[in-house]
Amino acid sequence: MKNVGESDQPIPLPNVSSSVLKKVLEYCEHHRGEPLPAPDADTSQDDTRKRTTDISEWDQKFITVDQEMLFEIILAANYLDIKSLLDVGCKTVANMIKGKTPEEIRKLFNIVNDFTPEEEVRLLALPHSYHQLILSFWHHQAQIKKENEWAEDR
Amino acid sequence: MATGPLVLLPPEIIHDILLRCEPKDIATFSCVSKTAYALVYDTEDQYLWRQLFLNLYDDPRKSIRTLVAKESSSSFNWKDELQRRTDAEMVARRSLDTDPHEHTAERRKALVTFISMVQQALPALPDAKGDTLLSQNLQWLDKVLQESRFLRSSPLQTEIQLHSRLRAYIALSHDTSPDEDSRNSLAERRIKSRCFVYDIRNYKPGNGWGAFLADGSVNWQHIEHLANVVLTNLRELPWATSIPPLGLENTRPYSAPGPFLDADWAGVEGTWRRSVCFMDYRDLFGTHSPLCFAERLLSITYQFTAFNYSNVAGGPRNPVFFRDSRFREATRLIEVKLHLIEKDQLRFHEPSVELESSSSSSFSSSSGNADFDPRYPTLFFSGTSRGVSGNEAKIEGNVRIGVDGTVRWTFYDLIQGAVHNGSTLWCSKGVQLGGIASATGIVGSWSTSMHDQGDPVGPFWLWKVSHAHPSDLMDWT
Repeated sequence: MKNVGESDQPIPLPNVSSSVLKKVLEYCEHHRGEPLPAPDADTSQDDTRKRTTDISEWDQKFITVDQEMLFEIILAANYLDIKSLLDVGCKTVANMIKGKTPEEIRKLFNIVNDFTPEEEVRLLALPHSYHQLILSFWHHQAQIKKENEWAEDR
Repeated sequence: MATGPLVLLPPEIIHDILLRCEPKDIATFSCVSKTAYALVYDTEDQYLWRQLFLNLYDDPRKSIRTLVAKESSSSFNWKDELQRRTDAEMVARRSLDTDPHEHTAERRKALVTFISMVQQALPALPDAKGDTLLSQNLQWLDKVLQESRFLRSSPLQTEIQLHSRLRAYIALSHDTSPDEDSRNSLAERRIKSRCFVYDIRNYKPGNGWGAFLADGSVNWQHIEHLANVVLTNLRELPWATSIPPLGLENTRPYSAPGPFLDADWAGVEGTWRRSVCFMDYRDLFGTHSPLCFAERLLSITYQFTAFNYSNVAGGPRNPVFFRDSRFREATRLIEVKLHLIEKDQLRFHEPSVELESSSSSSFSSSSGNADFDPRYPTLFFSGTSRGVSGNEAKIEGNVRIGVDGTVRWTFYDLIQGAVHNGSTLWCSKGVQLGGIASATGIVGSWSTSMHDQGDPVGPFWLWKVSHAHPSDLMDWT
């Protein structure tokens, strides 16, 4: 954290429990000395980085915790502005969501389905045509990948 | 616990998580609960949709607007725009299985959306890392238009301008299939385009003697025909280098060879290749003597008048005329060098007449002052053109932004004539295909500056080349 400077004054962390803080410190200790990500990383339009959900082996092991702890780590990382840890947390949750059906997601995260059956039917026939968007998106990604490979071959 | 802690996370963190998923997973997530649905669709925050949009398309904030924007860019609604493009894709992909008359509004909206994507394409300038990225808009659009074959079917009467505009941008780059059906349909289109292009009735004061509509906007149907005629001719030439850069990527702003300076926003200065086509009447009149181009063109002018369109198969108003074995169309490849000058340095081209006399009509760039971006003032230039037989014409002209935001070029060619002791002033008017300084270049029509009834007309294509471009000038009949 920049501009904080050395201080003997205690920094109050009302939103972070001691067990979570211990985890956060463990993370920081392990990654000490690593270069910080660019400060404007999350405002840049370079979104492709967001699409990769690869997590290093140590981080993977570190983040293998129960859901409650996982979300608390995410909140703490957000609160303490530790971007790389927030990134690991978000990637982990993303990996849990990927490829699941709505029912599987509900089960995994203990979410109650509060749609009425009528609403659910309507949801599937929404004019949002989001599923079409998905198809085009996948096509597009495949295309870009192909082009990049082609460019590398040259 | 009624609801797990996931949806209790702040929305921005959930959006961050979703952006690390595939769009499919985002759609799935929105079906999980009302809270989840609201997090995806009812969010005031544009973050999620902006990121989704930018994953697929060029950043519209980096696009070049030739007219001063009526709405500010901050009002850009990422979600609505993403949806609009998704809908347009669906309309295109379903077009072959649906009755166009039942979907006129949707089809029109789709065409307008596709055109806006060309206009909002990322300029082809290197980024901070020195790379020039492909345009995501145009890669997407090219694929959708090719796969859906949306532009292959004939347009509804109300769609002709939009349809032709896209087809002109694509400039036959989708028509390269060697199979017989495609070749036949291209041959038919060529005749249709020749009929339109060489019909003097399509050039009158009401349309600014060129490919324009009465309201001063571009007549894209005319532009498409002009492009078809030049391209089908160029494709018959023996040198592949003499074809302008085609395809949607080449319509991007600043995709032409640079450099680009602020004072020369249109990329005027430098070397250009110009292809001019005209009907060649030598065979019809038995004049096989090798005249120089200027003489030949002049003789054509006079013979054309005498010829009066009607001697052969009803003249060029009748498609049969172009099927006549005696019909010849000639194509010339000319090198043009242009440089900027001040307006008062013009010698034979009087832009005041053209620009001012039209200020009462809609053909002026000053008719809607409020809309014009002061960064793109009318530029004046002069130069020379050189064909196979050497220097032959002096050129003057101007480039400006038209009422519809398109880049318009006007050229006056002074050809010193050996015949009839005179020199002829030719006037060409063209429209840039795509954005400012697009590699595809300028397509338009030429005629004499007097626009006398009976004067010849024809199409031209002008595109910028690097100085190292091989010299491949030629006359071809």
